Amino acid sequence: MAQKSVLILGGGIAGIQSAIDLANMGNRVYLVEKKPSIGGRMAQLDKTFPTNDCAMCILAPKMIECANHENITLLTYSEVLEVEGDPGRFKVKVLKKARYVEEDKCVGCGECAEKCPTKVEDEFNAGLGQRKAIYKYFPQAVPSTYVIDPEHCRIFKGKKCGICQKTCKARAINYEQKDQELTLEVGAVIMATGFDLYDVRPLTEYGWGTIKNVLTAMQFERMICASGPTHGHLKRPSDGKEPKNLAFIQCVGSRDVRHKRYCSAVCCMHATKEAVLAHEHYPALSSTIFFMDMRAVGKGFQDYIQRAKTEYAVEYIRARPGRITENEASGNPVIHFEDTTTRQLMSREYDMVILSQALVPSESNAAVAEKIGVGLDDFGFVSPSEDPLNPFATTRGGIVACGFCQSPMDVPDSVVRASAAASKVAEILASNGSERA
Amino acid sequence: MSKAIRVGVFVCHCGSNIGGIVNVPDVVEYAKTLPWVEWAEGNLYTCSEDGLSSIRNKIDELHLNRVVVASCTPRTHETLFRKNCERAGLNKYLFEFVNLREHCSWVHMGKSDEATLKAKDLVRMGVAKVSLLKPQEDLATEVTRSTLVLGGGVSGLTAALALANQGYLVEVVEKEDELGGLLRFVNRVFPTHRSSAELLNPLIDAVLAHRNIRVHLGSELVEVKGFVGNFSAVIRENGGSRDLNVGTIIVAVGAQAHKPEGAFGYGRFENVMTQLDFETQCGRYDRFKRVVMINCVGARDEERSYCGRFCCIVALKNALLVKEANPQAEVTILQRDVMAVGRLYEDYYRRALEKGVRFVRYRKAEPPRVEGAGTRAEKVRVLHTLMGKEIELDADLVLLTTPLVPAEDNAALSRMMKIPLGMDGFFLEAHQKLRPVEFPADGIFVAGCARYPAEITESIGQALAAAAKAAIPMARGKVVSEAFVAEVDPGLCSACGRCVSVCPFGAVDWAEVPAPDRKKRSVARVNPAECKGCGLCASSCLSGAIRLSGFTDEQIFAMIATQR
Amino acid sequence: METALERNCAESPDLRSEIRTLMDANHLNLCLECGKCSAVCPMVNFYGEYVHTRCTRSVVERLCFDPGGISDEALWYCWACKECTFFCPSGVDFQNFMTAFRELMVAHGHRDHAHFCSVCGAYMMPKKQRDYLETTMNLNGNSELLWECPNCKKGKYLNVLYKLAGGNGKSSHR
Repeated sequence: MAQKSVLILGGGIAGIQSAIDLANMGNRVYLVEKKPSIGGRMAQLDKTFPTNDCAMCILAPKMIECANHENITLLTYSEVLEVEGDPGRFKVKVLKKARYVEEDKCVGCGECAEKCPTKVEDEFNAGLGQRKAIYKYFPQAVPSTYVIDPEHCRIFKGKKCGICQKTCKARAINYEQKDQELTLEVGAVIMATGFDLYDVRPLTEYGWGTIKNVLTAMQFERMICASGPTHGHLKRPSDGKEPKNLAFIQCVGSRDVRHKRYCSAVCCMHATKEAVLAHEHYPALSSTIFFMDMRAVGKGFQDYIQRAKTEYAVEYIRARPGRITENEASGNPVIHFEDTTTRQLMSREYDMVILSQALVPSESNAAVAEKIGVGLDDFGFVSPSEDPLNPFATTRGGIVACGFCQSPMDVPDSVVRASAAASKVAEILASNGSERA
Repeated sequence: MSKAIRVGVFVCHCGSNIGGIVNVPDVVEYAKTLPWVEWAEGNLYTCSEDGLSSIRNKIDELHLNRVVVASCTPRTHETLFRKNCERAGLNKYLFEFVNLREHCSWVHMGKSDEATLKAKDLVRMGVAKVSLLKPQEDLATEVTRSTLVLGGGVSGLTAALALANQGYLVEVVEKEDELGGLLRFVNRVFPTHRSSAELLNPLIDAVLAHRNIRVHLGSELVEVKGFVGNFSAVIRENGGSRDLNVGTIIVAVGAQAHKPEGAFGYGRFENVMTQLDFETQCGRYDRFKRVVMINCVGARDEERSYCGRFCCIVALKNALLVKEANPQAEVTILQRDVMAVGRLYEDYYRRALEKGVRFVRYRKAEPPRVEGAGTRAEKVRVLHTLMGKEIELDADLVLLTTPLVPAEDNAALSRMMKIPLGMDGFFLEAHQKLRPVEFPADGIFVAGCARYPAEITESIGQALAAAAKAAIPMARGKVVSEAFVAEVDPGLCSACGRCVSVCPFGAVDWAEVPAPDRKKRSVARVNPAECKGCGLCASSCLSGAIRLSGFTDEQIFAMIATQR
Repeated sequence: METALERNCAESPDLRSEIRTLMDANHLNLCLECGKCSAVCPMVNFYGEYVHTRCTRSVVERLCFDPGGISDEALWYCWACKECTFFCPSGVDFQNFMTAFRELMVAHGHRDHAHFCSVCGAYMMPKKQRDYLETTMNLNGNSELLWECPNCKKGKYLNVLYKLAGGNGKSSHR
């Protein structure tokens, strides 16, 4: 008999959705997530297109559903080590990394982080802010347990401290905690490992990393998010001033043979969304989006673009800029481009420039895929399925994939595919593992 | 004889979210002075294991029969606290949630004194209400373990197979005399260029052979009644009608091809046709020497604002097929954006470019002009927007790339099943981001082009997703609905119909009751299994005939009456 | 029926098909007309004005759609500096195309806009490039920089080396 249990790798929206679906069908689900909290990339977004729903508001209930579901076991801050066996009866080893904070004692009050003396660049906030060495990945993290970063915590670097332990009223800090290796028996595995952001520093023509007021889209997203490092206020990195005009450059690293040849699928829409949100926050602000093709193909997307043009002061210029220089006196980035529809060479100064960076398969994906025997393509995406009737199959039977790790896609598509993967897994479990995955 | 009410009040600090603004100990002391309150305490995090077990212990020790938790939002925590009461042996509907966070501390930051006063008001109201709550039971209805799949195209067939493989019975209702939907008219599929039959035939064979699937060809849905777990549908087939009892329904009725009469010479020139026309009638791909394709015909314009999503890829496919059959052919695609989204399609676009397919960008305001003599188009003129010059292309074939448009029956189906249509005429899902294959009404799902143009992989994905959603209630065997539902008092109902039309879930319908003069009259009736307790009906009722349990007039007036 | 290239380009069939071959070999067909090339092209600095018809994108477009519309001269402004090729996101090798194209034109007798080595007669650069360099470089008698091709310069250099080595050898560089 196939084990009526499933291992899901990745706790983003796709992993969460398939977990809930499978759990609701009565299966036991182990949701493994490498970060200290589930939520994935969607947790970093302010609002989502085209409805402009607050991302966390629609994500949090699903995260809580996962946490509270009797059939779901959350294994956060964990990684898969190996998957042995055959579909229907896999034996999986998972490493649960030590948080050095006891999960059943910590109430998430945050006093430890307040007192911690060590500051670390905050990954969740795209490097725009800082967190402490003991931290919660983001305010609404699930689980809400804090975690100590052993790479920066003084205790782990042999220095004297222990402030968090003294502060914690729940006495939840335990520096002696050990990593745990768990062995699980599952009938099937779902890969939903999502994506990372391409490092755009090599595109020196755009000056990210050297020109202060050139940001990536994710940095801008964190800035405009009310729960982000600037509490939703747009502040130019160079002088903290409020920008009056923004420029978005599309396809930075995408659709580029020198970087990533493919299209990252969501940038046309997220740049428009960010321009719309910026205008909502600052009615006097206007934006220009430099694009090649405005890929607004989903339901309601074309209308969204039209509204951006007519109601939110967004201008679209078809051009791929050549360079960005800096007006040293003001700190304004200057974009040099050829407007392809007027055939004029132009230079325009903006208060802030946002680069829609390419989105790449998760960095850890390659290692995970190797450990579990799933084939990847040149870009690191899961190799396309050979079976046209089952787009979710991977090269290993019993393991299905969904979401961005297969191909760039937005939230609705990820959610659909997550449920589809759940359906495929249900078939595998129902058929005793012998059904083609 | 009612038992004495014994209320326990638990006020949460929520870390510093509430406690940082509201003086929680003060509120706790105040709660102790309220009528019926036997116990009040403050917790750092009432939702933590400590808080929950404290509630259970106090219910036990002090024989509490009502619980008020004053903390964050029921949206995320109501289920948790209700379950906790149940664990302690207390009926879960004898619990009241007071929101001191979203309704108080978070919106009155910096105003500690006033926020604390308001918190006291809210707690007082909560206690007044909880005293009037009655124990109630959830309603569980059995679920029939079968699904009705409307539509026998790739979406419907995929969903049917997925459910059948999990052991559920499936009735596939298809209005044509054969299965396959639109794919029957597609010659080759992108990006493999394999014949569509290679994909469709095994799918059809598997469906026909499956013992859990019954296929009804030449059949149409005539009527649907009921609710999740218990739908009764009537279909018309073979001149007669048949009743089907199912637990869930999947709408996979697809879309239809657009015929752009009059546009670009369509209908006038015999060598101007749509991409789909081309696939059905083209024969050999090497017959053509000068092919010009015009994209976005009937899409992204005044008539239809949406983008057809994959028609660009169809154009690429046919362009590649022509070029690969005849490398000397000149193929030019006139486009307004090339929607080759994602990993696969950008490479497919490059493949077309590498093969020598040319692309010309045109503007919506300056569409191409097709010129010809007699019944044949000969040239296409277009302003090459990026070059800034009008160019003239010879053409022996002009293909118009059109989007799929909503199926004709959508409006009728929408009324029949009370499922909404969007402005674009396609079915409108419950939530565009997080519930793309569900309808607000439980138990009915949508997949494929019925929702919005979708290519094969997407359709299969949506069909499997809909199957997963449908499997959930069927796997559980029952649907449990919350006890807080609306109820119509037939004696007060004036049969105005407001509630029937206002209910987003289709839970209010007409029922016949005996009238004084021994005739019958119609009144509104709420189906408790479908009702979500949203209260729209109750607030729209002009006769005051609708009572929403958990939010009765009596309870609300009691809350108001506690005001100073 | 002829293609636009065939009909408008009033050249010999050989030249036509050779141009086509060059275009394919250098992937001009991959151009998505994004404009990055024109934006990075330094021509505007050398000639003091941006004239779109001289730039990469325009040349590529017109070769594909309007070859007869390209004035002979427009193809002799580019400096073949490789900036456009370096940045092109589609992989168009315009620099290589341009170099090969000019050699092709010269081989077919189109010499008006080209500047040749005064020693061996090999093609060196467009006349416009030489004119700009002459005026900006203030050569003061070092004109062999612009009037002798690299091959001839190497030949001279080798001859000097032979002399120094005390032999009678002569460079075979022409």
